[in-house]
Amino acid sequence: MAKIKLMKYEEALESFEVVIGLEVHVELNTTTKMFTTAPNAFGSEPNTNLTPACLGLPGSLPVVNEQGVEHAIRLGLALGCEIAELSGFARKNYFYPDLGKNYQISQGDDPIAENGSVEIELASGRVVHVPIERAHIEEDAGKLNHMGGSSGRIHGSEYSLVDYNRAGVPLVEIVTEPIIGSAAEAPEIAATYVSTIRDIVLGLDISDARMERGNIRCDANVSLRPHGTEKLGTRTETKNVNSLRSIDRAVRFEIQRQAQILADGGEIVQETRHWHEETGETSPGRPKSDADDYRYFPDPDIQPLAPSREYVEKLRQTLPEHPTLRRRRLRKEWGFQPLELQDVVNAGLLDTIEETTRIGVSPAAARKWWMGEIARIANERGDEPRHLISPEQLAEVVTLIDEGTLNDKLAREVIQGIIDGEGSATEIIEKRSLAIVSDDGALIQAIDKALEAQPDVLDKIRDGKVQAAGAVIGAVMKEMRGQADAARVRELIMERAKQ
Amino acid sequence: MSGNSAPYSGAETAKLTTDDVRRIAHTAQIEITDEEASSLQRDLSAILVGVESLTEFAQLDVEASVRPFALTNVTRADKPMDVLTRAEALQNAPEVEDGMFKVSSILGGEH
Amino acid sequence: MSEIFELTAAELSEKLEAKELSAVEVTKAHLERIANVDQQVHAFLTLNEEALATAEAIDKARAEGSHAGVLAGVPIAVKDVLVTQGMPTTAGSKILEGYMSPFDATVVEKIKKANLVQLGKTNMDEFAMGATTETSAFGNTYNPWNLKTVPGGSGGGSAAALAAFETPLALGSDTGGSIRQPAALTGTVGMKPTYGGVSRYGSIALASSLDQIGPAARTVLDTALLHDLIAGYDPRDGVSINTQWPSMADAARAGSTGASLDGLRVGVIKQLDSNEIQNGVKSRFEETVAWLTKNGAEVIEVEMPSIELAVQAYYVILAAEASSNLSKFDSVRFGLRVTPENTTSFEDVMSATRGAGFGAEVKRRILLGIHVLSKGQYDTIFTGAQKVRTLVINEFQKAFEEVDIIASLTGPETAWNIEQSSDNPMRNYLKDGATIPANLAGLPALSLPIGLADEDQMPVGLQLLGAAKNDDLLYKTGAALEQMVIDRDGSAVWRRVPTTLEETR
Repeated sequence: MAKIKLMKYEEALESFEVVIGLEVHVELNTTTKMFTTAPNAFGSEPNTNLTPACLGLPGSLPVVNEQGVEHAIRLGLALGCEIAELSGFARKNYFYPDLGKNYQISQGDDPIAENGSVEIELASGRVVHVPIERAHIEEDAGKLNHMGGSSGRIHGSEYSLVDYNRAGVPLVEIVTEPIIGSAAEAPEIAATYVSTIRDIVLGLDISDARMERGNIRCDANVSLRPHGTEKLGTRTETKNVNSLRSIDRAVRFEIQRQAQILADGGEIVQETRHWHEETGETSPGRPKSDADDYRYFPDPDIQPLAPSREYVEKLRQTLPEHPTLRRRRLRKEWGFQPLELQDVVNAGLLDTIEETTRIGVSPAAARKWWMGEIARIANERGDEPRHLISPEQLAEVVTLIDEGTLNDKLAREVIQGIIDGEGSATEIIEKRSLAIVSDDGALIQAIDKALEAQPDVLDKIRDGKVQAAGAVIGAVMKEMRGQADAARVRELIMERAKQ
Repeated sequence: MSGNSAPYSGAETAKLTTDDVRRIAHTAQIEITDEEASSLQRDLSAILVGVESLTEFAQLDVEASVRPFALTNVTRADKPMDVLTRAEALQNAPEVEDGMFKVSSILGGEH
Repeated sequence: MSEIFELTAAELSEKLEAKELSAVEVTKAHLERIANVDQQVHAFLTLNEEALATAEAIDKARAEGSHAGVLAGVPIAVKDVLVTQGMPTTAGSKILEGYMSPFDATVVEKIKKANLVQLGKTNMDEFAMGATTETSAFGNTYNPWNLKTVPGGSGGGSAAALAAFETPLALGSDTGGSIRQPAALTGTVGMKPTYGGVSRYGSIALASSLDQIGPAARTVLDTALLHDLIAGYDPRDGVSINTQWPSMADAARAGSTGASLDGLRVGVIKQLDSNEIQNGVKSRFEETVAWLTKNGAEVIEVEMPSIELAVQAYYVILAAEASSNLSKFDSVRFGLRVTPENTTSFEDVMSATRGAGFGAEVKRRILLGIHVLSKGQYDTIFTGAQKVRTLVINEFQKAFEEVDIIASLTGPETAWNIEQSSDNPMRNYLKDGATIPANLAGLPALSLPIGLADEDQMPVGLQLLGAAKNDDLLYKTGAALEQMVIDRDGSAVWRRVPTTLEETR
């Protein structure tokens, strides 16, 4: 691939106004596929999550998944869209071996949701409202594995193997209006928008939202026009940019590439482009042509959707707080730094931690335990933290710490016990004899023993070298196998020194 | 769904040329012989002339019917059913490798 | 007594119930009949090797006292458009030769559950595109009334099998007349139910908004008995109507036992009258109308100006939907694969396969469908067709405010000679002018024989068309007319099939 000439980013922005548009595909986490009863599952053996309809077997028919529709309506509402009183399904016809029927069921001219707006917040704190044109329901395609040739690419491959497990998985495609006036922030707006969409769908619990698995996929449209002109420039559509960082980079790259071409007097070709993570470049895909006549027509097998207004309003009541607003609120309530909160969001623990704080645990403690010990164990076991232990169970542990019954080390053991199903915190403390020894008699005995080994300590303390107590405390904690309250031990040593 | 461009020369008269027919056959992914191209040109042109009066109704102020009756909201529960075993899924495949359907290398770009 | 294979399904049912006959005897009689005559008729593409084993199991269950169902042990033929486990399903196309479905069509599942004995799969026009069964990739089917003539189509195999006494019952699919027109040409009975009344699941789609599965038999009552068995809501078919259907068999029995036609308002469509109707066909129709009037019905002429455009609209809509429905035949997951020499691409393999696997009529309609859905054509031809469809629907709605039922000929002529179909594709389609509107409007329509044309002694079919969900009224009226023919002629039409089918084996 010849080296692509790029204009400097700042220079490009001086000459041109940037217009971006984003198409985000969200895979829904329904139990079954959108138009057929095959399981919607990731990572299964090839061609095992199929019904006749996934393969387009003769005689098979589609029937709409009610859960998929509900998810789409809730997503539409969360995007601030109007929910159409009547929307329908259409066939998008094209031959490609990842489509079992050689048409994709989509919504053509009749999307279920239209005219919305999503509020996003940039790192600078600036709030941007991204206008949403539409969100519509469609089905995903299967997966092609290109064999022979180099690096699994379609070009140069000798043959391909098709796995239809993903064929028919529910998708909602969210299409923005052109986003104008974003200038230098365009790449960040694109990435932040997609990350906000991810937070929204996580909040709605309608998608696993794992970008590395393709649960959320982004196509980024970029066009440039000279400042002060009206007419939109020719746009390119960079397909399947599937990480937040790549979205930022791909938009930035296209701005620089297009600016250079335009400055050199060239023309932008309307085409789809592919993003290459390794090189950080885009390369041309198919040019748009007459062959892209998909011969859409209403699918006669599928009846239109006409959700009642009562139903839509009922679903509106189930919407969680908008993620941008929620973060702003939680940051304030919890006193977290933006990065600390981002870590919590990325770990998928925002709900869990909020739930934990609501039953009386301090935000700092909730964050410390969920993001620390529990996340560590979950990671080891390849499970979700929330599956291992409940907020109520953790709250009991934290209360015991606050009361002085447990210290951090003991608390870790108790949490391990809870996860292993040994019972409640109290039961585990009892069974494993883990509680801090609060019997002064036992502590004094241990202090005496330690002082015998280090007889000069008391004198040092009396001389004002208080830190000398540390060695005795350490010895006592060792003697007590960690089950002592270090603060109480210190108090007792100080009392002794005064005698 | 709609568009005003007219990719085929048949837009003005209902008739098609053999080149139109070849282009349509290509879109349909059907290989045709020259003989077929000329007989299809004749037949399709005759049919298109025969259905030409329909175009007069395109602007009529009535609904365009997709189906005989309008039902709405026909949905099903989100429960698995009718799942094929892998053997059933593959049993009619012309060629299989590693539990997947094997096809020759694909010319068309990615969609 | 008649031969076993001459008995109706209702008669067989009684004798099986009374244990005068066993399912094995009945099945054997029909398999023997098939062995004797099907070389001439060629109604069947595949025979069910399990037929006798199924019959044995049914007899055994009956002997053990379990109630096996009304039609238990009665044989049935299945049009090859319906997918079946255990028997190949081809839809009459080379592209599906040898295809084994991993699931049964809903109607097949129902007949299995009701313990009918499947005899085999019947011939049809390729993907149901045709009106003669001549477009089948697996050879013609011949009309038992005159082996030089066509049995109609697309379901010519099922109709010929009924007329030739190879089966008492058959399943078909009707997209523009594919059950009714073959019934008319073979002197048998065929019903296209209300759209959504019988599940389409497992029927290889031709045009999804027009396709309807339905029953066929030699008598109205038998057709109704089968209708009752296959009707009903199916969650696997998104256009299935969720309603409680009345018994069609009860309606048929009421009609044949002299239920009054007093006050029945019968419409006759003015626009279907034409000079091109064969004389003997026209006279039978006029007699029938006269008989209806004489017996208390009120015959009313109704105007349906759009019916002349219906054929055009039908043809465009069918082609559009079919072009998309038949895209799945691409050599990847099932069906034929043709790998041309010197090519390595998927696209070349796919188009060579589709070029070799589809017949001329199928190619013609797919190309037409692609064309009418393309930019520039959609907004004119396809939209025009959809709007004409609306007009047809509206005109029927208006007509059914004035009449209860519409009577017409099923087709303008009796069976014509094989290879004598017109070269002009549109002219052939015009022969379906009476049957097509029911599919566009989703209405129930029944074809039954009303006698023979004087000039060729070939059967003539009458079509009764009803408002949506009024299927039972068609059976009631149809059974009355069937009785009228028996009273007039001394025997039912189907009993008069000439015995040219010498058992030649």
